[in-house]
Amino acid sequence: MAVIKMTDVSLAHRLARVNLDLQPGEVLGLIGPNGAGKTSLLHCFAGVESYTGEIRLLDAALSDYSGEQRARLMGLLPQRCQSAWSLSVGDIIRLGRLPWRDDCPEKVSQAARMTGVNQWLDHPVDQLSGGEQARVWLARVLAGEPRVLLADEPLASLDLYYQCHILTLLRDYAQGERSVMLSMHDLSMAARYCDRLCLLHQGEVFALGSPAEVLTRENLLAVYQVQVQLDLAATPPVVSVIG
Amino acid sequence: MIHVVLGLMLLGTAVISLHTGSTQVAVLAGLVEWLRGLETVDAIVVGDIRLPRTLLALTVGAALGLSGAALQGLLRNPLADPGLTGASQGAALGAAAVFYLGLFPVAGGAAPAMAGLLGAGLAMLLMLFLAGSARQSMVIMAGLAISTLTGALLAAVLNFAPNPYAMQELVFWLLGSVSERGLEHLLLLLPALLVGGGLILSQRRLLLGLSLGEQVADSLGLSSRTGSRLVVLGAAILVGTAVSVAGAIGFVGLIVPHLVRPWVGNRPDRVLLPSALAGATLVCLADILIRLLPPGPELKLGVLTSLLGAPLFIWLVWKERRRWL
Repeated sequence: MAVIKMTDVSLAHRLARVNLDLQPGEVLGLIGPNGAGKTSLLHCFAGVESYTGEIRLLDAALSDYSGEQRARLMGLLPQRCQSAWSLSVGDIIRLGRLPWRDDCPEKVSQAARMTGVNQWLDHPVDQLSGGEQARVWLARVLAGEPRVLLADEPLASLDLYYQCHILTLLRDYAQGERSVMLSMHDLSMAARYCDRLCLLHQGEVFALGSPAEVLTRENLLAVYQVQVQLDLAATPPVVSVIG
Repeated sequence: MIHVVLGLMLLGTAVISLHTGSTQVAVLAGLVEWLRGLETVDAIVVGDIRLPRTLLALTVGAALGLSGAALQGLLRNPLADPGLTGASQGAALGAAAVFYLGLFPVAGGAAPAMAGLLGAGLAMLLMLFLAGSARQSMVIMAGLAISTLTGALLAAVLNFAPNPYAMQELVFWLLGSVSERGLEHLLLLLPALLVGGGLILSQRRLLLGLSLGEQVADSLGLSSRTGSRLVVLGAAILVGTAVSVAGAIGFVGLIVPHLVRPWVGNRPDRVLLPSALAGATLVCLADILIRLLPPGPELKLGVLTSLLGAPLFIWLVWKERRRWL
């Protein structure tokens, strides 16, 4: 049974009749040009945007869940994050436990270890570099252990090592009942780490399926208006822009 | 821990406040006699003058400190001042109407406070209506707009003052003071402190979640829309009543959360109660200081807090600037 099933979901000027599903244990990559609706789609799930149409989470409509029940099942890592106050890294990660109304030290320190920020637990978050902060924001979501982890461009502001590290981490997170839905711009990374891809174009689903089905020359030309050279069988997969 | 320390400081300040005044009285004996309904000099000085003054200073300070901490947390802006809700200007306008039009003659000495409360309530409703979405920038803009409007009306009232005495009375009232007020003012303040404080404290988790922005707060299952309105409402109730009872006591709401923040790891939820305790202590201390000044025309409490608060504020700006350089 699908964890999430979206039927004819629309959002004024941003999404038009989107049909999409997310399976347990799956990493689903949302790709598409700027303004294609990737962020809006993630926001619909996370309760940030109100939509028309139906989203089912497990066996009930998303709108039937209370905010807290939904937050326990779905965690959102927004594209840009900033702490208004100079909170400690530990306090930021503990924020992920808010829907559970506990501070569960084991889960907090486990999330910190997974993202490699455990040595800074007492540090003020605003004294870390951008890349280090990005891992703290992710640790915050991981601490809530959501069934569905929604990540909006988690690779932005990360160096190459941590791009791979975070994607491996998300890949491993999507085990058993847990799934990950993330938006990203790097198509070869998307082909390498995602089970399925959803190519969005002007608020509509242009293509949905395995990387090989979605990343075709025709699709990419139609959506991105660029010629690409593809070799998805290579390790790592090659998607390079010719022009 | 910080609660205990601040609580003890508050108690100590209250005791000192009961002992401070122009005449020497036996405080404990006077308090007991007052409670037993005896009309001795000690009982009258302690029970009818110093006790209301102390309790008012404490509650006004607590209301200002708490509302400042809540608004700064909600707006994620360390420079947010409780006056931003438009409630203080509204209260001032309400009180001015009493001085000039003689509203609520039945209420006697509490009339300015009651009219102030009404004015604060009206200004706040207008502000909430104008702000609509309760987004942080809208709350600031709407609060500024309503403050400007009520400020203009207040200036117009001053302009057409029927006689200079009424004007002087109003200006002195506006400068802020907790003296010459009775326990009936406490009957206005205490419920406001309970209701406003309760509203704000019920949204502690929202304030914490909002540290990372509205999107994160929403995704954490916190309702930032309704919750923000409750916080603004709570803060406006606190500020409105505090200003109605004691006039404008500047800088307490702005400065106190800054003093407390380093002790609670900058957490916007944990800064609330300590800010209330520290605000109460500071206003009471300022009021003690006023009573210790040499006799003559009394320095108004609001003037003193501004005189002390402004340099502190400049120091904060300086410290903040160094951090960013």
